[in-house]
Amino acid sequence: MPVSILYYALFVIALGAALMVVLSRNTVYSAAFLILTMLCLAGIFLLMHQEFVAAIQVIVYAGAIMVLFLFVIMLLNLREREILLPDFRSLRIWVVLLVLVFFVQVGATCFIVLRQMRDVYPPELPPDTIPLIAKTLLTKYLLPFELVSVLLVIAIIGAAMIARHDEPAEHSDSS
Amino acid sequence: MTSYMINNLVLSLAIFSIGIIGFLVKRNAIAILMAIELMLNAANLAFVTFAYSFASVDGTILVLFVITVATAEAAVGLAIFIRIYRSRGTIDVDKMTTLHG
Repeated sequence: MPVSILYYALFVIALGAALMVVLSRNTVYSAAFLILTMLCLAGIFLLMHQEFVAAIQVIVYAGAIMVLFLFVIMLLNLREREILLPDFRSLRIWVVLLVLVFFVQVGATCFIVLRQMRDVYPPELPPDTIPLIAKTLLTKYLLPFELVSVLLVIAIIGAAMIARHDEPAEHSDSS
Repeated sequence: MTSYMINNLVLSLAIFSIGIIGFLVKRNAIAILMAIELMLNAANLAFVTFAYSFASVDGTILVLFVITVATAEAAVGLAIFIRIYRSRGTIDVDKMTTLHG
Protein backbone atom coordinates (compact mmCIF):
# COMPACT_ATOMS: atom_id res chain seq x y z
CA MET A 1 0.00 0.00 0.00
CA PRO A 2 1.69 3.21 -1.17
CA VAL A 3 0.33 5.36 1.66
CA SER A 4 1.99 3.27 4.34
CA ILE A 5 5.26 3.22 2.37
CA LEU A 6 5.09 7.02 2.21
CA TYR A 7 4.28 7.15 5.92
CA TYR A 8 7.24 5.01 6.92
CA ALA A 9 9.55 6.94 4.61
CA LEU A 10 8.47 10.16 6.34
CA PHE A 11 8.88 8.45 9.73
CA VAL A 12 12.45 7.36 9.02
CA ILE A 13 13.48 10.68 7.44
CA ALA A 14 12.00 12.67 10.33
CA LEU A 15 13.83 10.52 12.87
CA GLY A 16 17.13 10.68 11.01
CA ALA A 17 16.88 14.42 10.47
CA ALA A 18 16.07 14.96 14.15
CA LEU A 19 19.16 12.97 15.07
CA MET A 20 21.25 15.01 12.67
CA VAL A 21 19.99 18.25 14.27
CA VAL A 22 21.76 17.18 17.44
CA LEU A 23 24.74 15.43 15.87
CA SER A 24 25.89 17.92 13.26
CA ARG A 25 28.59 20.32 14.35
CA ASN A 26 27.74 23.20 12.09
CA THR A 27 24.75 25.21 13.27
CA VAL A 28 23.64 25.95 9.72
CA TYR A 29 23.41 22.22 9.00
CA SER A 30 21.47 21.76 12.23
CA ALA A 31 18.97 24.37 11.09
CA ALA A 32 18.66 22.72 7.67
CA PHE A 33 17.99 19.33 9.24
CA LEU A 34 15.46 20.93 11.58
CA ILE A 35 13.63 22.29 8.52
CA LEU A 36 13.68 18.77 7.04
CA THR A 37 12.21 17.36 10.26
CA MET A 38 9.42 19.93 10.22
CA LEU A 39 8.60 19.22 6.58
CA CYS A 40 8.41 15.48 7.28
CA LEU A 41 6.09 16.12 10.22
CA ALA A 42 3.96 18.30 7.96
CA GLY A 43 3.77 15.36 5.55
CA ILE A 44 2.63 13.09 8.38
CA PHE A 45 -0.03 15.69 9.30
CA LEU A 46 -1.21 15.63 5.70
CA LEU A 47 -1.51 11.84 5.78
CA MET A 48 -3.76 12.26 8.82
CA HIS A 49 -5.96 14.71 6.85
CA GLN A 50 -4.96 17.67 9.03
CA GLU A 51 -4.34 19.97 6.10
CA PHE A 52 -4.61 23.20 8.05
CA VAL A 53 -1.98 22.28 10.63
CA ALA A 54 0.29 20.99 7.87
CA ALA A 55 0.02 24.30 6.02
CA ILE A 56 0.69 26.27 9.21
CA GLN A 57 3.61 23.99 10.01
CA VAL A 58 5.20 24.65 6.63
CA ILE A 59 4.44 28.37 6.46
CA VAL A 60 5.11 29.45 10.04
CA TYR A 61 7.54 26.88 11.37
CA ALA A 62 9.63 25.86 8.37
CA GLY A 63 9.20 29.25 6.79
CA ALA A 64 9.17 32.07 9.30
CA ILE A 65 10.80 30.66 12.44
CA MET A 66 13.62 28.85 10.68
CA VAL A 67 14.34 31.86 8.50
CA LEU A 68 14.67 33.82 11.74
CA PHE A 69 17.10 31.19 13.07
CA LEU A 70 19.17 31.15 9.90
CA PHE A 71 19.19 34.94 9.81
CA VAL A 72 20.58 35.12 13.35
CA ILE A 73 23.12 32.35 12.69
CA MET A 74 24.42 34.22 9.67
CA LEU A 75 24.24 37.56 11.48
CA LEU A 76 26.39 36.34 14.36
CA ASN A 77 28.82 34.84 11.80
CA LEU A 78 30.28 32.21 14.11
CA ARG A 79 33.76 31.39 12.99
CA GLU A 80 35.31 27.95 12.97
CA ARG A 81 36.64 28.11 16.49
CA GLU A 82 33.23 29.15 17.72
CA ILE A 83 31.43 26.18 16.21
CA LEU A 84 31.10 24.59 19.59
CA LEU A 85 31.36 20.85 19.91
CA PRO A 86 28.80 19.02 22.00
CA ASP A 87 29.90 18.48 25.55
CA PHE A 88 29.52 14.83 26.51
CA ARG A 89 31.76 15.12 29.54
CA SER A 90 31.21 14.62 33.25
CA LEU A 91 27.70 14.38 34.66
CA ARG A 92 25.78 15.15 31.55
CA ILE A 93 26.08 11.65 30.13
CA TRP A 94 24.34 10.25 33.21
CA VAL A 95 21.59 12.82 32.85
CA VAL A 96 21.18 11.77 29.25
CA LEU A 97 21.01 8.08 30.19
CA LEU A 98 18.42 8.80 32.86
CA VAL A 99 16.30 10.78 30.43
CA LEU A 100 16.53 7.96 27.89
CA VAL A 101 15.48 5.33 30.41
CA PHE A 102 12.60 7.54 31.50
CA PHE A 103 11.29 8.00 28.01
CA VAL A 104 11.69 4.34 27.10
CA GLN A 105 9.51 3.55 30.09
CA VAL A 106 6.93 6.15 29.14
CA GLY A 107 6.94 4.82 25.60
CA ALA A 108 6.43 1.24 26.73
CA THR A 109 3.53 2.32 28.94
CA CYS A 110 1.90 4.26 26.12
CA PHE A 111 2.39 1.32 23.80
CA ILE A 112 0.68 -1.15 26.12
CA VAL A 113 -2.17 1.17 27.06
CA LEU A 114 -2.89 2.26 23.51
CA ARG A 115 -2.80 -1.27 22.19
CA GLN A 116 -5.58 -2.13 24.60
CA MET A 117 -7.51 0.98 23.58
CA ARG A 118 -7.22 0.24 19.89
CA ASP A 119 -10.61 -1.40 19.52
CA VAL A 120 -12.42 0.93 21.87
CA TYR A 121 -12.00 4.12 19.87
CA PRO A 122 -12.44 3.72 16.14
CA PRO A 123 -11.66 7.15 14.72
CA GLU A 124 -14.42 8.84 12.81
CA LEU A 125 -13.06 11.59 10.65
CA PRO A 126 -14.96 14.82 9.97
CA PRO A 127 -14.75 15.37 6.23
CA ASP A 128 -13.54 18.95 6.34
CA THR A 129 -12.03 20.17 9.59
CA ILE A 130 -11.12 23.75 8.69
CA PRO A 131 -14.59 25.32 9.27
CA LEU A 132 -14.79 23.41 12.53
CA ILE A 133 -11.37 24.70 13.56
CA ALA A 134 -12.39 28.27 12.78
CA LYS A 135 -15.66 27.96 14.66
CA THR A 136 -14.06 26.41 17.75
CA LEU A 137 -11.17 28.87 17.73
CA LEU A 138 -13.50 31.86 17.75
CA THR A 139 -16.02 30.54 20.27
CA LYS A 140 -14.63 28.08 22.80
CA TYR A 141 -11.04 29.31 22.57
CA LEU A 142 -11.73 32.99 22.01
CA LEU A 143 -10.00 34.21 25.19
CA PRO A 144 -6.76 32.20 24.66
CA PHE A 145 -6.80 33.33 21.03
CA GLU A 146 -6.88 37.00 22.04
CA LEU A 147 -4.30 36.46 24.79
CA VAL A 148 -1.94 34.79 22.35
CA SER A 149 -2.26 37.72 19.96
CA VAL A 150 -1.39 40.11 22.80
CA LEU A 151 1.55 37.84 23.68
CA LEU A 152 2.80 38.05 20.10
CA VAL A 153 2.71 41.84 20.17
CA ILE A 154 4.55 41.91 23.50
CA ALA A 155 7.17 39.45 22.25
CA ILE A 156 7.80 41.36 19.04
CA ILE A 157 8.14 44.69 20.85
CA GLY A 158 10.37 43.07 23.45
CA ALA A 159 12.57 41.42 20.84
CA ALA A 160 12.95 44.69 18.97
CA MET A 161 13.85 46.50 22.19
CA ILE A 162 16.33 43.86 23.33
CA ALA A 163 18.14 43.51 20.02
CA ARG A 164 18.20 47.25 19.37
CA HIS A 165 21.62 48.58 18.61
CA ASP A 166 22.91 50.87 21.31
CA GLU A 167 24.85 53.99 20.46
CA PRO A 168 28.67 54.23 20.55
CA ALA A 169 29.22 52.97 24.12
CA GLU A 170 30.07 49.37 23.23
CA HIS A 171 29.75 47.60 26.54
CA SER A 172 27.06 49.58 28.27
CA ASP A 173 24.34 47.12 29.14
CA SER A 174 21.89 49.70 30.38
CA SER A 175 18.95 49.85 28.05
CA MET B 1 -6.32 4.07 10.73
CA THR B 2 -5.43 3.81 14.38
CA SER B 3 -2.08 2.26 13.55
CA TYR B 4 -0.93 5.83 12.98
CA MET B 5 -1.52 6.52 16.64
CA ILE B 6 1.07 4.25 18.19
CA ASN B 7 3.64 4.89 15.49
CA ASN B 8 3.17 8.63 15.78
CA LEU B 9 3.43 8.58 19.53
CA VAL B 10 6.63 6.55 19.34
CA LEU B 11 8.01 9.01 16.79
CA SER B 12 6.95 11.90 19.01
CA LEU B 13 8.67 10.36 22.04
CA ALA B 14 11.81 9.70 20.03
CA ILE B 15 12.00 13.25 18.69
CA PHE B 16 11.29 14.63 22.16
CA SER B 17 14.11 12.54 23.65
CA ILE B 18 16.47 13.66 20.91
CA GLY B 19 15.49 17.24 21.69
CA ILE B 20 16.20 16.77 25.38
CA ILE B 21 19.58 15.24 24.63
CA GLY B 22 20.42 18.13 22.35
CA PHE B 23 19.27 20.57 24.99
CA LEU B 24 21.54 19.00 27.60
CA VAL B 25 24.56 18.35 25.43
CA LYS B 26 24.86 21.33 23.12
CA ARG B 27 26.87 24.38 24.12
CA ASN B 28 25.88 26.73 21.34
CA ALA B 29 22.90 28.75 22.56
CA ILE B 30 21.23 28.78 19.14
CA ALA B 31 21.57 25.00 18.90
CA ILE B 32 19.91 24.73 22.31
CA LEU B 33 17.02 26.87 21.06
CA MET B 34 16.73 24.58 18.05
CA ALA B 35 16.58 21.57 20.36
CA ILE B 36 13.68 23.27 22.13
CA GLU B 37 11.95 23.73 18.78
CA LEU B 38 12.48 20.01 18.17
CA MET B 39 10.73 19.20 21.44
CA LEU B 40 7.84 21.53 20.59
CA ASN B 41 7.49 19.78 17.24
CA ALA B 42 7.29 16.43 18.99
CA ALA B 43 4.55 17.79 21.24
CA ASN B 44 2.71 19.09 18.17
CA LEU B 45 2.88 15.66 16.59
CA ALA B 46 1.36 14.10 19.70
CA PHE B 47 -1.42 16.73 19.80
CA VAL B 48 -2.30 16.22 16.14
CA THR B 49 -2.23 12.46 16.57
CA PHE B 50 -4.68 12.59 19.44
CA ALA B 51 -6.87 15.09 17.60
CA TYR B 52 -6.99 12.71 14.64
CA SER B 53 -7.50 9.55 16.64
CA PHE B 54 -10.32 10.90 18.78
CA ALA B 55 -11.87 12.94 15.94
CA SER B 56 -11.63 16.11 18.03
CA VAL B 57 -10.53 19.56 16.94
CA ASP B 58 -9.17 20.73 20.30
CA GLY B 59 -5.73 19.21 19.75
CA THR B 60 -5.47 21.01 16.43
CA ILE B 61 -6.20 24.34 18.09
CA LEU B 62 -3.65 23.66 20.81
CA VAL B 63 -1.09 23.08 18.08
CA LEU B 64 -1.88 26.53 16.69
CA PHE B 65 -1.27 28.05 20.12
CA VAL B 66 1.97 26.09 20.53
CA ILE B 67 3.24 27.34 17.18
CA THR B 68 2.37 30.94 18.08
CA VAL B 69 4.11 30.76 21.43
CA ALA B 70 7.11 29.08 19.80
CA THR B 71 7.35 32.00 17.42
CA ALA B 72 7.33 34.49 20.28
CA GLU B 73 9.89 32.43 22.20
CA ALA B 74 12.23 32.16 19.22
CA ALA B 75 12.04 35.89 18.53
CA VAL B 76 12.80 36.91 22.12
CA GLY B 77 15.45 34.21 22.60
CA LEU B 78 17.31 35.10 19.45
CA ALA B 79 17.18 38.80 20.36
CA ILE B 80 18.73 37.97 23.74
CA PHE B 81 21.46 35.92 22.05
CA ILE B 82 22.25 38.76 19.67
CA ARG B 83 22.57 41.03 22.69
CA ILE B 84 24.80 38.58 24.56
CA TYR B 85 26.99 38.04 21.52
CA ARG B 86 27.37 41.77 21.09
CA SER B 87 28.47 42.35 24.67
CA ARG B 88 30.54 39.17 25.22
CA GLY B 89 31.62 37.95 21.79
CA THR B 90 30.42 34.39 22.39
CA ILE B 91 27.20 32.44 22.77
CA ASP B 92 28.76 29.48 24.58
CA VAL B 93 26.30 28.75 27.38
CA ASP B 94 29.10 27.34 29.55
CA LYS B 95 30.63 30.81 29.62
CA MET B 96 27.45 32.60 30.62
CA THR B 97 28.18 32.43 34.33
CA THR B 98 27.41 35.96 35.49
CA LEU B 99 24.47 34.78 37.58
CA HIS B 100 26.30 31.68 38.76
CA GLY B 101 26.62 32.99 42.32
